[in-house]
Amino acid sequence: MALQKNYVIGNTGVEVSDAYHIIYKVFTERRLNDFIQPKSSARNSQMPDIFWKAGHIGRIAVFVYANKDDRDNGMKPIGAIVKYPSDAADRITGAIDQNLYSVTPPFQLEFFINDTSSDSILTQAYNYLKTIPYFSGSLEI
Amino acid sequence: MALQRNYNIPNTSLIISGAYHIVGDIDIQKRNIDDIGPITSYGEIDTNLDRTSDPVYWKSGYTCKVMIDVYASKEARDNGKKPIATLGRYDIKLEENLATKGMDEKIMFYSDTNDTENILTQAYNHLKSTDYYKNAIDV
Repeated sequence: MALQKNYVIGNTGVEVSDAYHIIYKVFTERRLNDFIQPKSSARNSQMPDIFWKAGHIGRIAVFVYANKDDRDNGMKPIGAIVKYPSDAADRITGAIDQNLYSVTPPFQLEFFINDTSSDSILTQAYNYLKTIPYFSGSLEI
Repeated sequence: MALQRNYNIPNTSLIISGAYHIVGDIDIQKRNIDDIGPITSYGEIDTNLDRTSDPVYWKSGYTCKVMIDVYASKEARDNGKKPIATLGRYDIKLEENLATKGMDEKIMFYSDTNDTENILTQAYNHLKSTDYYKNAIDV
């Protein structure tokens, strides 16, 4: 399973058509208790549950290849969409400057894993990604 | 002054057509006396290198290490976009050898201080002497 959509490499002006977006890893963490909320009620109401609520949390790391053939032939990704640079550590070296990774993606890479779902964590992760505007209109392949 | 040629993002099939290659930095170092030159992993003088034609390896004088920023296009560079790559700085393996002969990924040349050309022109002239840039377009 993967998602195909155009991809802009960093702030370079290079747009790659129909790039192959594939989840490389889902880091999981169990938050046992709710975090203490900020004192400001204004911030309280705006903070998404994923930042504070107890639950089983998945953090998605996405690699972007020029196309499926590159991935199948062992070529390197042209980019990574990750929360932290270390999530893509050493996997892109030799292809592209890591400063061009999207380490502050325009969307949340963390989601609540549903432990009672019959879907695997990976399927849940893709289903979550497909709810994000960035991936709207992407082709599932 | 810049050079235009295609750029293949290493280890991918992605080729940026007509990429804009511009010298971003020249690191100049002075070598006070002639050096013995490169040595092998056994600590012996590397006789595989042509020391007579490559003074950059050993001769006293000014050696210049060139770093090149590669942009998608001139417009990308003029509009403040980031370079796709910086050649000569990072561990980027291109299939073609863009480096000075025998220097792995380093792009270095020996600068003749008596040359009437300025250091930047010398750098571009050196780049155009490499296999990687010999068919590049001056822009």
